[in-house]
Amino acid sequence: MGTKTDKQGREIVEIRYEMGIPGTFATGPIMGHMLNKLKDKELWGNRCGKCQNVLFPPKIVCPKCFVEPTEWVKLDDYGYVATFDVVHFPTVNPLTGEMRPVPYTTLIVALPNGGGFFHFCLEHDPEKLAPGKKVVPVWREDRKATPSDLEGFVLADDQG
Amino acid sequence: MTKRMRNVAITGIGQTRHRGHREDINMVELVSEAVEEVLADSRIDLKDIDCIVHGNMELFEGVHQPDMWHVLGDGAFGKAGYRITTGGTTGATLACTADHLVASGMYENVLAIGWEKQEEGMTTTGITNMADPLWEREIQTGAITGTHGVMMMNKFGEPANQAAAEIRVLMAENARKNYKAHLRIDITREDVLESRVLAWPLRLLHMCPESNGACAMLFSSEEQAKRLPQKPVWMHDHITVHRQETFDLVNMGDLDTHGEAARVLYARNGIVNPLKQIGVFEMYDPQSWWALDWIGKFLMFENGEQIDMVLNGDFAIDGKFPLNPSGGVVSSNPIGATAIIRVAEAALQIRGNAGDHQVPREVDLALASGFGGTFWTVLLLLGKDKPDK
Repeated sequence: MGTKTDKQGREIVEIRYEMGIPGTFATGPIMGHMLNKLKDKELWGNRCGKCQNVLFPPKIVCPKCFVEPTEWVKLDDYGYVATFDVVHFPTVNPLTGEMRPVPYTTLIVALPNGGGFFHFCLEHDPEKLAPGKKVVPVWREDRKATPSDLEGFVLADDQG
Repeated sequence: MTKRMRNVAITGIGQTRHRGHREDINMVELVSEAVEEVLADSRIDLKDIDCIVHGNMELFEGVHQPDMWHVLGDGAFGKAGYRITTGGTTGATLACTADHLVASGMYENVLAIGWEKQEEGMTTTGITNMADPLWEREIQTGAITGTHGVMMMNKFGEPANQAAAEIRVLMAENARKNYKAHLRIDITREDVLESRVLAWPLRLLHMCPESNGACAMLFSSEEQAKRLPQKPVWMHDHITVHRQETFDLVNMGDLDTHGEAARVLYARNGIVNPLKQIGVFEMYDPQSWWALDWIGKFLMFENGEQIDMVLNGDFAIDGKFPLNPSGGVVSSNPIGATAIIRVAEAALQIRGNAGDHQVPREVDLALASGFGGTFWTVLLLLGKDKPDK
């Protein structure tokens, strides 16, 4: 809270606020199963019986065919860069309220058998990243069935 | 065009001067500045307005149901009211809603008000909260993304980099002619290319600002439009397209909500050559890389033809296809108002009284677009003449 005066001599009074909203999101059984599997360092999607596409994150209906997926599929433990963002602008992690250290990189991982998803990339050099490069996951030691159990992806070449 | 119960005209336009700081007034007073101007512009008596449609992004300022609070600033006392909050497209959806409410015969005069006071909250935090909380929210970067830039660089190389900078320079030139614009800066292509990287290849000067501002527009029936003194601008058509949950992330080309909106809108309004038939386009351009990509989507180009057009100056106010004579979103961005400002500016161009940023030709048809965080397109077509029944 503070008061000041503008160029015309008028009082400027502002009220400072900070909003913290604790909450809990139910995942439902399909997302819940996938999140639970993250604890075992495994990525599981589901397959549409009609178009045969693998959906990750798994979905309650196939977004192309609008039918319920028929089976669970364990994903390969690699993917390819579809596109990426090396972000130098500090932003807040909306789930924790903490500022993210910069730079950080987000990417879309293209899966070998179709589809793809958003996550972090631990390589921040845009010169080294390019669509089509092979990436592999890096897992956290302490896993809690959340998307951040997966710390992110690194270039497969860097893994020897 | 789509089936219409009756014609609807834009009969009044009001806007604040959009600014980075407005700590001299509160939200209610900000809204009232635009409302006072639309009343003066249309010369309607507040008592003749039947309904107020009000919109912004609640998560930005953290005030829920601000329409209740704003009654003394927007004149809604005793009137019907609706609240619209569709993210970045809010302003465009406000215009579509007001159009529907008048076209249906329900109301004669509907006032649509979009506003945002962005300095009072955290924009990027608000935007990231729109992402699905079970997977994507933690990874979201809000509107700060260079992915389309990466794709354009991969496809077209350095000319795309130059054109993204050049379109920003053009927007600054236009904004300097528009006293209501927030950023009225004098910049060169080099300034843009040397500004700091936000998310490669997106740089600070490519990106829209956070602004405080409001825009109010009056939508009236044909009978009312005859009575009111302003030259009416007619609503011809509009379309909304979004597909956040159903598109293939890997194949971003699949996310062509702009192209889909344009294809359908053009087909049902007999537009076969938008470059010739449309006199001006106020396009929602949150950043210059998106602008460069999206011009191509809206104009149905397949091979990046817009890159040469940008470098040739074809999108200047006096060019072949005037784009954002107002200076666009990269110059002014009070988000809940941003998309309705596109509609207002397109209407001003048809009226012919946009002031120093008026295009030097008669505008028969104008396009205005809105874009929102969940890949949501709203595209509106306005005309000088009444649409064919």
